[in-house]
Amino acid sequence: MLSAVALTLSFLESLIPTAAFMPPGAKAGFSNTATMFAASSLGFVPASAVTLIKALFAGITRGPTAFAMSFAGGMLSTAAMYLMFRFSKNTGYMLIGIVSALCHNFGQLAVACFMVGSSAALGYAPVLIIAGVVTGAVTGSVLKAAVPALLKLEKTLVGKGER
Amino acid sequence: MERKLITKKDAVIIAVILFASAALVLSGRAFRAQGETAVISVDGKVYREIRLSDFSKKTQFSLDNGVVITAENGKICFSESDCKDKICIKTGEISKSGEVSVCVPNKTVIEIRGADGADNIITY
Repeated sequence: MLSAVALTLSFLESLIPTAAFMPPGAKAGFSNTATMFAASSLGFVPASAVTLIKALFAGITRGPTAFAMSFAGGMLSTAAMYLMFRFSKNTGYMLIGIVSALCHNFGQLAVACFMVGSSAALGYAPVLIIAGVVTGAVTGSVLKAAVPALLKLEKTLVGKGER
Repeated sequence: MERKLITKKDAVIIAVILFASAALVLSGRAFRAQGETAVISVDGKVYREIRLSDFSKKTQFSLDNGVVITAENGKICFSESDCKDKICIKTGEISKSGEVSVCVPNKTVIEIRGADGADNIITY
């Protein structure tokens, strides 16, 4: 069900025209809220599953390159989120969001460099870092606001045995 | 204890990251001189090197991987590509030494180089 949420968010996000001030390739990453919820409340495996499904969706709609980049960035960022939620009690949501957004960017750039066969793609890094800090902060804040509601929903669903 | 949205320590870390990356972007922009040549590579191999000053009129290069590159007035950009994300086209015109534009799906890179191949030397 979470994957569906992630896909919906991903899709809605693609409908928003890229604002002029956004650097090329940067996206708001709303769907990462779903991944983050999975990483914080359900565990590493469900979070990875969400990431994989998201990447497959990207692959279907935007081609194999998008799959590779989405998956590499997604897994790196999921791992980072999970480790922070698990082992660092006093790291706030906002910083976790930011660090995972940066990991996401880094994973994607690594794949881009590998595919292109040169390190030139790193030229996008500085702008992406700033974008990552902003979008990560938003993702983290949204999650903080949404967690209580999501947990309640989870309980209701599990209670009804509809999971 | 409930996890907080942000702690003081987090705020400091975030500020440091923001400051460092902003400094990186700004210093990169400020010190970049007009580039001399554009190097187009496909799949890691140099495909063609273009002297930007040779193309004051609009000139198009069609690559056999579905990419069209346009050079005009010392600037160069991806103008057409059969990839789906079009990030290469959205990057727009580049002209200053050290700038890059990349089309990952088509494995094509445009890099601007300075007068003597060095990226950071400013000559007047």
